[in-house]
Amino acid sequence: MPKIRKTKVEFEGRIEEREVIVEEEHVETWPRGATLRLVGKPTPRVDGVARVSGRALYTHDVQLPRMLIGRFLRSPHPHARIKAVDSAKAEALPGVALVWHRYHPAPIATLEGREIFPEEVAYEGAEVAFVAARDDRTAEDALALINVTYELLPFAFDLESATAEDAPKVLLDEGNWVSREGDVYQRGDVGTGLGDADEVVELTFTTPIASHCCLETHGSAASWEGDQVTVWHSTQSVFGTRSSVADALGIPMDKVRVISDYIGGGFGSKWGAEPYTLMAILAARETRRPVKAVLGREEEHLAAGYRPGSWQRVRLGAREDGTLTLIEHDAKVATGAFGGGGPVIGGPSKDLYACPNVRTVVRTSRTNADHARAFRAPGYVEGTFALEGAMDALAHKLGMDPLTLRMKNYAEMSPSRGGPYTFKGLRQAYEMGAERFGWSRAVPTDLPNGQGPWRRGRGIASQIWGGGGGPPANAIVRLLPDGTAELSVGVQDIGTGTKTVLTQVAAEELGLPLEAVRCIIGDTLPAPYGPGSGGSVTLASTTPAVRSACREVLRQVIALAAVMLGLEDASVDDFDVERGDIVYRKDPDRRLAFARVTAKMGDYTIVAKGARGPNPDDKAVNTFGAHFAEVAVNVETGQLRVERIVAVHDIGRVVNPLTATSQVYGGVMMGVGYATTEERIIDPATGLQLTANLEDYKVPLVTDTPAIEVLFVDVADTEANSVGSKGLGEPPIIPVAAAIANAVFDAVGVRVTDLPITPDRLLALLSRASNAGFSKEVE
Amino acid sequence: MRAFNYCRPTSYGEAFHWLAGADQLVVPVAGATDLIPRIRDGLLRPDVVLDIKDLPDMRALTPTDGRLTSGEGVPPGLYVGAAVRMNELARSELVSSRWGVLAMAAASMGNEQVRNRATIGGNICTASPAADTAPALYVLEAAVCIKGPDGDRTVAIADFFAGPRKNALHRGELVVGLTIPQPPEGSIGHFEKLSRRKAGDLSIVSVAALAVRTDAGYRWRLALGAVGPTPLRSPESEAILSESLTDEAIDRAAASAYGCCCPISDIRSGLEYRQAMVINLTRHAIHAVMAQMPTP
Ligand SMILES: Cc1cc2nc3c(=O)[nH]c(=O)nc-3n(C[C@H](O)[C@H](O)[C@H](O)COP(=O)(O)OP(=O)(O)OC[C@H]3O[C@@H](n4cnc5c(N)ncnc54)[C@H](O)[C@@H]3O)c2cc1C
Repeated sequence: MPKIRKTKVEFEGRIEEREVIVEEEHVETWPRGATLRLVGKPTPRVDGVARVSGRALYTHDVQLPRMLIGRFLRSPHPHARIKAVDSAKAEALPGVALVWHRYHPAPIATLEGREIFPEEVAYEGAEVAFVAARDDRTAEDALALINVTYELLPFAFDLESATAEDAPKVLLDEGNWVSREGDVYQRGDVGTGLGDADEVVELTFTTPIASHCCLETHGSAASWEGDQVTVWHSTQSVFGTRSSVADALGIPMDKVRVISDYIGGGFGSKWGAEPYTLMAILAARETRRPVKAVLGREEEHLAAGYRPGSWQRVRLGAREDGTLTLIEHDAKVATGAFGGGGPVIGGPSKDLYACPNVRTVVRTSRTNADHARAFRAPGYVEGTFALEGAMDALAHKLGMDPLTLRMKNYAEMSPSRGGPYTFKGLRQAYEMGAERFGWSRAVPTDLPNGQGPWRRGRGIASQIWGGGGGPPANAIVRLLPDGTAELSVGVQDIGTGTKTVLTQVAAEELGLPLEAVRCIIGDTLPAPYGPGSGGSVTLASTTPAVRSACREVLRQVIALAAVMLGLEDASVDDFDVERGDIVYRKDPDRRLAFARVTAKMGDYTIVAKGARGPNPDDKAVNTFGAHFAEVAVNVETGQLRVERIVAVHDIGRVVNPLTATSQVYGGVMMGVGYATTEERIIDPATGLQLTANLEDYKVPLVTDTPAIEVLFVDVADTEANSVGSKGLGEPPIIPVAAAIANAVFDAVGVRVTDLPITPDRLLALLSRASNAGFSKEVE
Repeated sequence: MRAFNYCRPTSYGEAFHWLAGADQLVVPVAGATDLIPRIRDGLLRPDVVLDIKDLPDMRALTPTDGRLTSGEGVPPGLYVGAAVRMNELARSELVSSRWGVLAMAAASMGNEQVRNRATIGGNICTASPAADTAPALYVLEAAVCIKGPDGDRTVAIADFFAGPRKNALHRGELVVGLTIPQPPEGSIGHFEKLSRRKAGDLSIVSVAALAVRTDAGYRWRLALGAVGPTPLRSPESEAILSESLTDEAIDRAAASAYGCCCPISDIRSGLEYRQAMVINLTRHAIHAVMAQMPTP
């Protein structure tokens, strides 16, 4: 029976108390060291062949009979007022089905309270008009025929220009500050922390605007049948999209089906319905033809979100022995014209170390840009770069080993919540990483220090993140007469391997081979609710629900088996499931093959639903990690080579070491890009992006990728949930930039506080340092 | 991307007929790695794209025997058809035998996929100051063979580059190939580029050095890319190096190279960094050549 309960769930650095409906979780937790058949074994993706052979259907691949293509005309100015739009020529172009804009609006003109075609456009790439036409080329030709009269307005393109004294207004009717006082977290007292400190370091950091660069750009396709609409949407949340579409259209949820079978990356940027989604849906209704609208690569940079750039100041105080007395972390971010809440940059400072006096502030301003979006560990990537850089500087100032300093301030209890963790394996991560990396050994000499222009160095950084997940999440399992099972979960696989781990857990629980379980996700029609894939919650939220549903299936199978074994009076709990057999515990010779039971079922299908139970009360569920980086710096050219990263993560039980390792590879590569090459550059004179493509916005290639060694603490977190696992989507990007910057300091004695670490920037720092008497003492 | 027509003539007569069409914009294409991005970005709106790859001798890569070269007194050397691809240059034993600096430059360009398509003709016709084959062609003193409706002509590579995205072609002309004189036995070349990423990236600065073997020693040639409106030679540096190869001379040569450049700031790098890298990369290239000189 469902019950209403309160439970705490951590999502992207914020702890929410949710009132949720849960069903009694009647599943025993897999104990540590449990012998499991499939869980914990490296398992190739169940959909791997479909993906690499091109059979996997992404939103971009959707082709429907008579389908039209939708495209947007976008503002070429960072800030302007639209005086007039002349679309007569575009409308007259053969093949054009419709044109919508401010003066010829679509039947629904707003989405989530915001006008789709406002009079005041506040960023380059803002939607100005929408065209649906028979093909892409016709749509593009039509866009070129639309004449827009703009009145140009002054703009503020970055944090600095938006927060200056006489800054131009980002939006005519709003102040530029979204939150001048900022989001403040405080425990203890800054003055006390300073007073108690023997040493203090204070550093200022900046981080760049980073684009998600999803391989599949944002897009939707829509098709109506009567009053029902099917929406293909490249999204991290099929259910979130269903609600936002139903809301926008004012129709019941059951009229909306959202499909996202395969997604070419989201990284935080793909959630609910977006302007292209709504326009596709409305145009499809209007024209009675399916409509697909996907963004081009340039639009992806202009209007699909980014990690905001940040300015941060960190002050740390410590006693002589390294005990932290103070962490003060002040941050400013600019989140675009609509000024969404800033990311939780203070998160790491709040929770990574045991420190009595902590104050974090994040102030948020608007800028003439699209709205910033969550991007793989939002806030924590930026905040960790600053905090862990400052910790390194502190270690240096104290003459301490950076790892020792971290151990010294190890938080046994959750610093912000006060209580214990369900499990924390960061100490093991430090130890395993130090051992594998050879932290205590001298810098390797195969690239001689002091000879030639290359210098080697090593650095570490650590990480905390949520990822514990929580309710609500449901699963339905159907056991078919032939003994195979269908598992249906309301999630989507954004590339992390969700489908594979869900299949593993179901097959494990049911005692079936992997091949006998078909997993259906990415579709709201067959599935009960599942969470969006964000905050690294997917696995920890859904796999316990899968176990619970499978348990229920087994109960029913056992009840049938009991009858067949002539044990009508035995309780369900008197049976075990062992290698496909149902075994009577009191007399293991009385057993019956699973398939014999299902064979008896005839056309009967066993259907069971399972739900995620609540999180434990008063315990924090977190994930942790430590990265060890080795770099080489060319002191003549400023070139930086990241040579090796040893990444150790504590995520509880590792369900699939193969996909988990891939996840860490991807996170580290993304971190290397963030640290070394990726940066959105905006022309101050025009307010326009200079890097709105993949030629100028440099993501790292495989040739820029270091040797990555992935280790897991791999101790089941048995108190977190019945599977003992936590999330891994975001953690691996978090410490990368800090570990690299710390290694650069070790190599050449300059502290890089501005990302990305380009040769240009690094050489300037090196020459400044050598003019100042080049030495590591210069901090 | 805007629609265009595509034609692939097999004779020059047909090609020049297309190119002469006055009522429509006809643009040659080879590997298309420069052209297609430009069309997609709306910077160019051709009506017809004319593929030159099937024209006679466009893919030739042979030692010159006089047949393909125009003019007299061309020393024996290498003929490279305009449609020869980067990976063909990078992997050709013939090219590596005497023109190694060109093979190095070709190998450094773009990435594997791009090198499989990109041609040498396309690289020079684009006339980007950062064209990676250019510094190599400058030090090799290549000549560009041009064909037009009114006949053939040859232009020295240094005269072919006229400014950013400007080349010496007249309307309706095609580059058919390059002739590259053979450096005397014992000559040593080196190419090097600096970019933000190891692959798939344009040069921030590139340098080609060639020590041409003479009876007395070596005559040096030095060219730089991405540091001015066109690639350029540094005659003063060349003179200094041909005189002496002391550390002091090398420093002076690098400083003169710096004097020749007039780089700009762009998103790849700031001006100061480019300037510093001219000195650095020049010095590096000189040392790399010297490292290959036989010890006397
Ligand atoms: C990802 C990527 C990376 C790149 N990296 C580099 C790099 O590192 N270094 C570098 O130098 N370049 C680089 N480039 C640019 C480009 O690949 C090169 O300039 C290449 O050599 C162009 O050759 P193409 O055959 O593809 O030229 P095309 O695109 O076919 O043509 C280029 C131009 O030359 C004209 N043209 C071509 N052939 C002839 C001819 N025979 N006669 C007259 N006109 C002609 C065309 O009309 C066009 O204007 C890169 C491009 C990409 C897409």
